[in-house]
Amino acid sequence: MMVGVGLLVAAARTLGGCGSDSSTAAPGDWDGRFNVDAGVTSDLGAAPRADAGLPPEIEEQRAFETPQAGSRFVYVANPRRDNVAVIDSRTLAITSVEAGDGPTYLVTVPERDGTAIDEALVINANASTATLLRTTTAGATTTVQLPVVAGANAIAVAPNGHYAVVYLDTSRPNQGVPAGSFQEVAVLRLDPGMERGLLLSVGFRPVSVVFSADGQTGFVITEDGVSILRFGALTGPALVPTVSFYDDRIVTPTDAGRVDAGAVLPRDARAQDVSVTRDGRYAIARFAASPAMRVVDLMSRTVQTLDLGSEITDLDIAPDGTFALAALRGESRVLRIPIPGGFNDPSQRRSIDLPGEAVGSITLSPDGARALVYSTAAMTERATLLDLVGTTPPAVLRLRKTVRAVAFAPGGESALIVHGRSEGSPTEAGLDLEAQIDRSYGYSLLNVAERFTRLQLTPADVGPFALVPGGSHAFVLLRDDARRVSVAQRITLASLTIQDISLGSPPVSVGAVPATERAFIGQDHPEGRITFVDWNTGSQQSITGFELNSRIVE
Amino acid sequence: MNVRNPSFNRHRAVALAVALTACADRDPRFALSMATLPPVAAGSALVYVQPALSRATVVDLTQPTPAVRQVAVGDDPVLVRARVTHDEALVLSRGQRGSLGVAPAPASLTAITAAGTARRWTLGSPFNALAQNGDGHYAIAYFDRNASAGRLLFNPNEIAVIDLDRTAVAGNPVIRTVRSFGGVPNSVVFSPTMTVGGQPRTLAVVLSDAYVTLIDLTHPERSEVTVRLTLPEDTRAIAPAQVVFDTDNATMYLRADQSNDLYVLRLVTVTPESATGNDFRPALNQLAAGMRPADLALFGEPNARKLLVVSPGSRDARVIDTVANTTTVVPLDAVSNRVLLFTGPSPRSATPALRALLYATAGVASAVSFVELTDIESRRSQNVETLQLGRIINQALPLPERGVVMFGHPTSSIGSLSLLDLGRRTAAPIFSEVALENARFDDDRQAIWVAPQTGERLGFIELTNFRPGEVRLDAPITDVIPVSIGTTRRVVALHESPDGWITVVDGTDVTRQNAQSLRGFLLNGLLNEGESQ
Repeated sequence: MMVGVGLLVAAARTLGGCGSDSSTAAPGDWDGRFNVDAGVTSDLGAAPRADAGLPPEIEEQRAFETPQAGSRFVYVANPRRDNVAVIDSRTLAITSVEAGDGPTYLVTVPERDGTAIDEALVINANASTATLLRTTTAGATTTVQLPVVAGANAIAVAPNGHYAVVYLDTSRPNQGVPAGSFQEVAVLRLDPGMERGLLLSVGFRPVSVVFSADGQTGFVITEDGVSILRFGALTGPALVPTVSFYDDRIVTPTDAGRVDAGAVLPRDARAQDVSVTRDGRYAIARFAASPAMRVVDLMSRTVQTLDLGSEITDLDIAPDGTFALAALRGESRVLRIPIPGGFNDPSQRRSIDLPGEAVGSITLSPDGARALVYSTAAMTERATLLDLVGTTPPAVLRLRKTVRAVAFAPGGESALIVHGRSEGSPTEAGLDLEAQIDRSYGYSLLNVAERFTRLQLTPADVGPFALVPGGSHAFVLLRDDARRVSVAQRITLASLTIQDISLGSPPVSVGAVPATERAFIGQDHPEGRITFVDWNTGSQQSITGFELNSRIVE
Repeated sequence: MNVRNPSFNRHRAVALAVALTACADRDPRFALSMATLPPVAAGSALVYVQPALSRATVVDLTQPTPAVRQVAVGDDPVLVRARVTHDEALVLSRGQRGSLGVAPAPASLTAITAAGTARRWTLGSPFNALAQNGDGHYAIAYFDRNASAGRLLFNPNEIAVIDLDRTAVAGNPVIRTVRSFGGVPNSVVFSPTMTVGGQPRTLAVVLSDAYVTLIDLTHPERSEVTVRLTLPEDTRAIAPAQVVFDTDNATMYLRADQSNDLYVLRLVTVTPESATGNDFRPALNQLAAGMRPADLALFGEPNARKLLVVSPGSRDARVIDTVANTTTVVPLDAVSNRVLLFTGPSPRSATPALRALLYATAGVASAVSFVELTDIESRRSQNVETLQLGRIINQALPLPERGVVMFGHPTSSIGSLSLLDLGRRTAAPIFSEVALENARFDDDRQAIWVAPQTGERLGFIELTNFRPGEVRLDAPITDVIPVSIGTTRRVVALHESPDGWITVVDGTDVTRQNAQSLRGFLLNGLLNEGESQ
């Protein structure tokens, strides 16, 4: 079977070499959303091989910053004082709550069973504990201490807010990796009155944790594979079942790894872009410089290997888990693989050919209806917008700058594209406008419906950004200490207009507080500074001195 | 000029003294000092306090012939102050620590009316400083760190809160020790009445090095709130120096020496944690205000308050949006260290509006800046007008309600004073032999009164028309105290004399003929007092 597909792909290439050039067709002539993988409509034309000599795609993880805010209160950890400042976004009153020893890594629990709440979980880096903070509408905060893994620096909160997984992510900075195992996570139950922590062994070096849609199952992505945490079944210390991507001796693939023949993976190949379907049934992964895609059935704990015929440079699962998208840069093609049908039946896979475009990376919109395809390696100043549910043909967006990262708004109606820049000062004398643009930092805003992009050059590199609930506004942070740039930009997405907000100190974090419809911008200030911005009006309020506030005595 | 002596005149006193000194055993009372504390006006009366006699002498100027009354005060009085907005004098006494044959007596505060009636509150500790709020309702007695307490042991953080509208009862005064982080109170300021938690409040703000203490005077039984201004590792000598209150927003803005930040304390309503807990809690904020701000003023609508801040040595003023915490720098042509807000016209607009005058004292500038506050953040230097006075400014005496500021300059051929008309933005030179710090205002700011320390002439400037004048009195003048008696203006010139010597001048018709001199009143009742002991 695999051989057949490979031949078909090869045939498609051959046919494309002498077939019609889709670039000559009018947009309205494009009558189908996808072409089948077999290449019957594949028309690469005379376009050169798209990835000739290109380095690997660099996937820069850019996403709208997870707010460190609950429904109304904002939480700021202070490891030096062993406390957490709880800031009421409505009154700006600050209370200081004692945590553990060195509270450092903090996330909020945004909701529980659909109800917005004010809870935060902070890892006490010096104590191997986490503190759960729970704030009432009256502003009173209670705490619960829970055990976590030594050296933990990452927290993943499951949907619905009942569980969290705390672990050591060795790819992130921490307070010093302790001696011991890198194969332990803590599962925390967060329900009021039922809080508890459980330490469990998982695969080697967890890198991320994802959850099923109902929040009842966690999947710890490790170098070994996927460790499955079925929270309801965890009553005490246990060995977590781990499904490996690599070691066939533990889990024998049903087809011995030959579902799609042709792809041979070295034993030390590392899985990349590991994704888990929303229902927790499947995990998929790609491998560097390989056309192989591994599929793990997490229920049956079986593995199969797909050969997509060309190096896979990016691989994503749709949010609803119904399909995966693979970027085949060498063929300027995106492959849509229905889940699970496309795993075993290549004829169900459909290809989207984008001749002449560098198709290295894919970013799916959160609703799975659209995707932006681009390359971080090819230095092209274009991206392609794909309509994955309608009949609109792919649209090439001329961006005027190269692409570093893309983030969609949750509703998918707009996106923020972070650009790269070339070396040199944009203010150097004698530069033409094009060179000035190339040398500048900047980002583009995309209105998906209108296919309209707005380029915004910035005085500093694009820092964290956040989108407010409802998607009406976004905030982008710009910071350059050497040039004294401390700016937040408030973006009105309906009009793509931008308001500069000068800050008194360098911005470091941004998030949204739904209850008061304010964005908060945390800043680098020795005594703590945060600016709240009414996202509807742009009016601002700043408070400085969390530490001094915490030392007010009555 | 008329001269009057009280019934017990100085000649009789001298005779008594001679007779007593003839005795073999000299009465120790002859060793008592007749020195007085600097007198104050209490409504229509002048109040002298003689510490050695533990008494006050009240010279009531209501009648053409002044009435003189003696009132006992607590032992060891150390200061006397006019009660704010009341016709009373307040005398703070440290009490008697006790010695051989002398029983200890507690410290006390005595309020004395012009009619000579007195109320007294026992304070317990020998405080030596007194502060009052803006309407004279409350006073706080505390220890001035620069003055001796006169005791073997004392607690410098002890204070007494006195409700001056109430008599001495349980709970008035409230004696308490304010929480300390190693410092002692430097001074006390009071808020205007502010609404906090739906109730009107008056707060006392005790200023100490690196922290302030808030006391709810409306509920003095409640615990104080201490707000630190530095972190423990911060060694700066942050000394709170100025407090500006925003009553609309229950907020206070604090400036401190050695700090580039202004501290904002916004009182947030909370549920008290105990019976003695407060129903508010300050939320602290810091506003960057340039290099060592020297003065600030608050302006703008309640929902958009702004601060105008100046720093010494800076040719900038800063407008700080207190809500957004954003700063607009306004370039100036002249350095400034003082801000004066005034409402009035300008040469370009007859419509009165809130404007600002920025100036510098202490001889660092000869120009002042007028600032139009409307749209200042967008117009910046377009809203600034510089006025050269041509002479260095040493001192300033703002009279915004009269639309003028009087500046003191080094003596020169064109005078040592100038009157700045805030509306016309003109400066008129005036010759003066007197430094501005010795000038005294009428209560209604109709005139300024001055007198050289060693001269016999009393000078004045009518502020309605800037007309100066003077009158020669019989003796050198040590000080001038304007006294209001209904609608009548009188000015009392003090002369050096151990037995008391004043000249009362009619403030509305300043002539020598209308002046009246009174001598020897400090000896009044001295014999009676001696006999009673």
